[in-house]
Amino acid sequence: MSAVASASASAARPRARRSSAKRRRNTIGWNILGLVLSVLIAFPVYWLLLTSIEPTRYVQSASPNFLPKAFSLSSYTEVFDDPVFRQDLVNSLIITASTVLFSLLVGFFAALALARFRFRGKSLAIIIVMGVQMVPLIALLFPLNDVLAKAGLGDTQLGAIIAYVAFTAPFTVWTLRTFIANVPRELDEAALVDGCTRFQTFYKVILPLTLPGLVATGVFGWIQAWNEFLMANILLTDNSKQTVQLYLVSFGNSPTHGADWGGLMAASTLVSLPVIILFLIFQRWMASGLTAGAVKG
Amino acid sequence: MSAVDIIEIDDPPSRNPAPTRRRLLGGAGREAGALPYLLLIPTGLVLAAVIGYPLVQLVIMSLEKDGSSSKFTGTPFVGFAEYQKVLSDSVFWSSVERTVIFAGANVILSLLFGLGLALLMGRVSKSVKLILTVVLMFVWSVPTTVSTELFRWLFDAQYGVVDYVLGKVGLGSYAQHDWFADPNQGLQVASFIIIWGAIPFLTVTLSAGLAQIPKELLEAAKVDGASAWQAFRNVTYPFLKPLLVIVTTLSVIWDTGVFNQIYILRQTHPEPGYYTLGIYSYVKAFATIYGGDNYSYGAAMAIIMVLLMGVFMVGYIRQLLRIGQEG
Repeated sequence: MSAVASASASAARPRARRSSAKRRRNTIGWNILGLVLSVLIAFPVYWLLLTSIEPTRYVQSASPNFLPKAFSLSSYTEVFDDPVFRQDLVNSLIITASTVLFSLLVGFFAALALARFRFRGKSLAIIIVMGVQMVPLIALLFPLNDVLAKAGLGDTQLGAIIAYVAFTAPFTVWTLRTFIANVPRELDEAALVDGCTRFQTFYKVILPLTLPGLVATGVFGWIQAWNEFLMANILLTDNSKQTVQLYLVSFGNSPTHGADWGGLMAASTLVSLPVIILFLIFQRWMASGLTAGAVKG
Repeated sequence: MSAVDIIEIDDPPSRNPAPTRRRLLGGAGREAGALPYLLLIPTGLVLAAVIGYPLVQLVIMSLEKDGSSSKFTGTPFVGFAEYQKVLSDSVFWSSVERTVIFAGANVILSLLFGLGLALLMGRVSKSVKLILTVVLMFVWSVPTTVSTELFRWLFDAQYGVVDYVLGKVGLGSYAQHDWFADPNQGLQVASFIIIWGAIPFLTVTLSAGLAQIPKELLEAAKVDGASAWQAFRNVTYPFLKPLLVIVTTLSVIWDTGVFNQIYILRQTHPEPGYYTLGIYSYVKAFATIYGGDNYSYGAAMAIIMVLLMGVFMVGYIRQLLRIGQEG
C-alpha cells in the first residue's frame, strides 16, 4: 500500500514539475503574443504622434521613416496659430464642462429615485431613460434641430449642451444608480433615525460616499461630450461656435490643407489630448466605475 | 468600496432590521410618496424636450407630404405614402443589406477580438498586462474623428504606411493602392477603425467579468480533466453570459448606427457604395447637394430604423429592468 502510494507520489512529482515547467513555457508564449498585439494595437497611435512631430519633407516621402529622423514642432505651431482653432478649443471646453456639470446634477437626482425608492411606474422610468440609447441619433437630428430653433436655441452652445445632457443621461443615471445602490441602505436609515431630513441624508450620507462614482461618471461624460461630432455638425453651423471636432474634420477636408498630414495629425493629437490626460489620471477609477455599471448591476 | 464591506461586517443585525424599526421610519425606507417623482422631473424634462418632443415631430413629419423647403408648415397629411416610397426604394434596401453585413461583421469580429484579448490578459504576466492596459487606454481615449482621420492617413494611396509595408513584403500590387475606389474595400478600412476603437471597451469590460469567476471552479474543472475548451464552455461562458448579452447588445446598437467613421473617411461626401442606413438617411435629409432635404422621407426611414433597433433592444432592456427592480 505504502509502496504504491510512494511510487505514485514519486511519479506525480516529476509530472507536477513538468506541468509547471510547461505552464511557465506557456506563459512566455502568451507574453510574447501579448506584446506583439500591444505593438500592433498601439501602432496607429504611434504613427499619429510620429507624423505630427516630423518635418513635412519626411512626412511626404515615398519611403516613410519608422523612427523619428528629425524633430519639428512646426505642425503644432501651424495649428495653434490659427485663431479658429483657439476659438473652437474654448467652445469645446465650455460645452463639455457645462454638459458634465449639468448632467451630473440632473442625473444624480434621477439615480437617487431609481436606487432608493419603490414607486409606481419605476419600470416605465427605466425603460424611458435607457431607451434613449435605442433611438438612432441621426433619426432625431432633423426634428431636434427644428425644436431647438423654435425655442430660440438654434445654433447656440446652450442648445448643444442641453442636447448633450439628454444623450449622456442613460449612462450617467445608470452608473450613478449602481454607485448609490452600493451604499448600504442602513446608513440612510440611521441618519433618518438621528433626525436628518431626507435631503440631508442625500447630501450628508449618500453624496460623499458616491463621490468616486461621480468622478468616474463625470470623466465618462466629459469624454462623450468632448468627442461628439454628429450633433455638433448639425446643431452648430456658425463658424465662431463650433467645436474642435468640427475643426478637425473641416481641416481634413479643406483643399488648402490638401496633403498636410503633419498638420492634420498635430490637430488630431491636440484634440485627443484632454481625453488622454483624463484617461491616464482616472484609469483606476474608470475601471471600477465600469465594472460597477456593467458587471455587478 | 472597502468602507461598505466594513460596515456590513461590523453590523450584521442591520441586514434584517427589526419590524419596530421599520415602523419607526414610517415606511420611509422605500415608499416616499411624491419624492421619487420629484427627483425624476429634471431628467424627465430634458429627455422630453430633446428626445420626446422631436420623436413626436418625427412621426408627424413622416406622415406628411414631402415639403422640401417648406419643412414643417403647410404640408398636407399623406398617411403612409412616404413609408411606401421608402419600402419600394431599391437604394434603401441595398443600404439595409449593407448595414446588416457591415454591422454583423463588425460586431462578431470586435467581440471575438475583445474576448480573446480579455482571456489573454488573464494569462500573461503582470508587466505585460500593464502594457496591454496602457495601450488599450490610449486607444480608448482617441475620438472617432481622430481615429478616422488617422486611418485615412495610414491607408493613403500616396504616402500611406500600409501600402508601403504591403509593397515591401512582396504584395507589390498594393504599392500606391487606392483603398477607397472600391466601396467594399473602403468599408473594410472603416471596419478596421470600428473594431480598433471597440476593442478597449470590450476587453476591459470582459476581463473585469472574467476576474469575477471563482478560481476554484476553473481549477476543479482542470482537476477533473476538462480541456481548455470544456472549461471555457462549461465554467467561464455561463458566468460571463449576462455580461456578454449586454456588451453584444451595445455593440449591435453602436455598429448599426455607425456614421462618423464612414462619413469622415469619405471626407463628408460618401458615395452611394458607402450608404449604410445611417449615411443614407442623413444624405436624404440634409445633404442638399444630393438633391436631399427630403425631411419626410428621411423621417420615415428613421422610424423604420428605430423599429429595427427596437427588436435588438428588448432583451437588453429586460436585463436592465431585472437589475433595477432589485434596488
